[in-house]
Amino acid sequence: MMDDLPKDAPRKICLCMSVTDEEIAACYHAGHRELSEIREITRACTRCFGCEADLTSFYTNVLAAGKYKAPSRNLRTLLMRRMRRQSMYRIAQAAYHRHVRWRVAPLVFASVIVERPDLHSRVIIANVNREPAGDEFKEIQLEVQLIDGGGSLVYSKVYDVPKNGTLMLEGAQMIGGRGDGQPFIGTIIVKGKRRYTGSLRPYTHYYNDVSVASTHDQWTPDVTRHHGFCTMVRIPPTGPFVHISVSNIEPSPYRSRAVLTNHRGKQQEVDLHVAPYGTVLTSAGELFGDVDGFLDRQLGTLRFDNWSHRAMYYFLAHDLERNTWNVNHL
Amino acid sequence: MERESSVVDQAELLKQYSGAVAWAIDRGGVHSRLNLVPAAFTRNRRGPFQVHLTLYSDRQPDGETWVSPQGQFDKDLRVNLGEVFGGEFEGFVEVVATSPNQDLRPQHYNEIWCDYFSDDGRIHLVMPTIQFYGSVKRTLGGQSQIWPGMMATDRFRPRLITINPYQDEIEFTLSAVSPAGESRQGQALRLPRKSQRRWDVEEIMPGLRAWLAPHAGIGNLLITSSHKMICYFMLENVETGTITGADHLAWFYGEEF
Repeated sequence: MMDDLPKDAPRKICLCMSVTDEEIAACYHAGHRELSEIREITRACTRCFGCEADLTSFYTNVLAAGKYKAPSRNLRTLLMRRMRRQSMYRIAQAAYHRHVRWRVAPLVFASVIVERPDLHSRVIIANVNREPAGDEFKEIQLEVQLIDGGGSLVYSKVYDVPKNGTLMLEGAQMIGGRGDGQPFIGTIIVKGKRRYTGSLRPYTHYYNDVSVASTHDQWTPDVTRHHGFCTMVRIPPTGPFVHISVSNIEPSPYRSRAVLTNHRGKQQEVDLHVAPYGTVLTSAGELFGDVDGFLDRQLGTLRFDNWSHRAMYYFLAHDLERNTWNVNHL
Repeated sequence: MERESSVVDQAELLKQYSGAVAWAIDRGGVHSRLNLVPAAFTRNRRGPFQVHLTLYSDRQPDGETWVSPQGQFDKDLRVNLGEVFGGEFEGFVEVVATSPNQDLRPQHYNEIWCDYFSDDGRIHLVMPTIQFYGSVKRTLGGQSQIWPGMMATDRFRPRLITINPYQDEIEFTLSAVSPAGESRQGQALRLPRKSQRRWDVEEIMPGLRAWLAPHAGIGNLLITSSHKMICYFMLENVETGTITGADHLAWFYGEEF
């Protein structure tokens, strides 16, 4: 995907903190030559650390090697350049992070919602402080949207969550009568404006009378957990029955090769398509047909091979005998 | 045949990488298995990789080690901990995966998935852990962590697994926060160096079920610790003994890194 960008466009190196190569280079050329200093000032690679290899490689092979060529400049870059000249780069960056960036780039979280007669979803979002009497995180307004499997918006509401309060959203309540007893699969998107995530990452209960599974969001449509390549390492040959949900969180159609590997290293492949912003709930059996024979009574691995399209993956393992569900992110 | 890297010294790799840390159990019919995500370790389809395990458990607190045979891109590498270490144990395992191909580091951090299962089928859990490289991030955890949606009812009880991978003792406290914003704190707890412990949250905070009853038994669990402790939660149906809900806690973003 990045290769498709115009050559002079900035390239995001840190997806979590939304830091581009241009900002990192600007920091470097402002005289901050240590990688740790660049991280501290730009906030690059300070959240999930997934970009550490990219950042290090960019720093070592491009910046330090003097190979960086600045792309075209926008207003912010010009302002930062002026600040650099006046040795105020660090102050300007701090002010930008404190006052501007979180306002223009809200926090976004996303999870999958499943409603069927034997499984329900409940999203829990806590807005708490580390110390009960603390004043670190105050009241926040959260915009909640639910998008169905076809990519259509079915629910939208703004909630005020008080300091130390918790928002609980029942899937059945959000879809109303829409499911009418039919299984519903979709994506919930939660947006809020604040500098730090704090405790806001939603966890979802996937529950019925006899089991409750609890797992976290898969981050955001803007900054998703998996921008490509994802595996489910445990596809059992016999129970529990494993469903996989794939949510497309980009406005373009998702296409990926799904590869099932058995314990001998043999593979079966199939193409998977998901509509823009859509979600599908599928299983190894639905994708590949006779899985039991292929897996030869051993565990298998399912892999989604698209390296660039941002998507959100969960597995839902159903013990048919006990009617219990274990749900987790991939 | 994979070319040995001329850049990376294999022995050095072990030092560079902070191992993934996972709960390890083989006791009472409950087993644990590591599932290595092959493509996470090498993008080269012919690139082999290898895992180095150190198990710290109640039976050998100073650790026992095991090195796997080589895995390869499209072949599974599953390690049943009970088979490789033998006997019964509960503790934690440190996993470092190395590859001659690691000078071409993968874009994503290396994920290792563990699954926990019981002979009688009551338990079927899959949980992630991450191997980090570099010197900043050491563990999958923070000094303040939260589990939004902790559940304590007559049927479902919350369990907590805490792991201390450090050489120092960890001090920590558990707090419960109700959806209405009320909070109650348990007594200060300690976890000795290089150890793991499972907790029944209600034993630390007696009366939790009654306290959360007005909110259908749902609240938040907050952990404050002296180090970045590694924590996983589990939800057990005490009527049937099944454990289906388990994941790691979320750490507060906003901490100083």
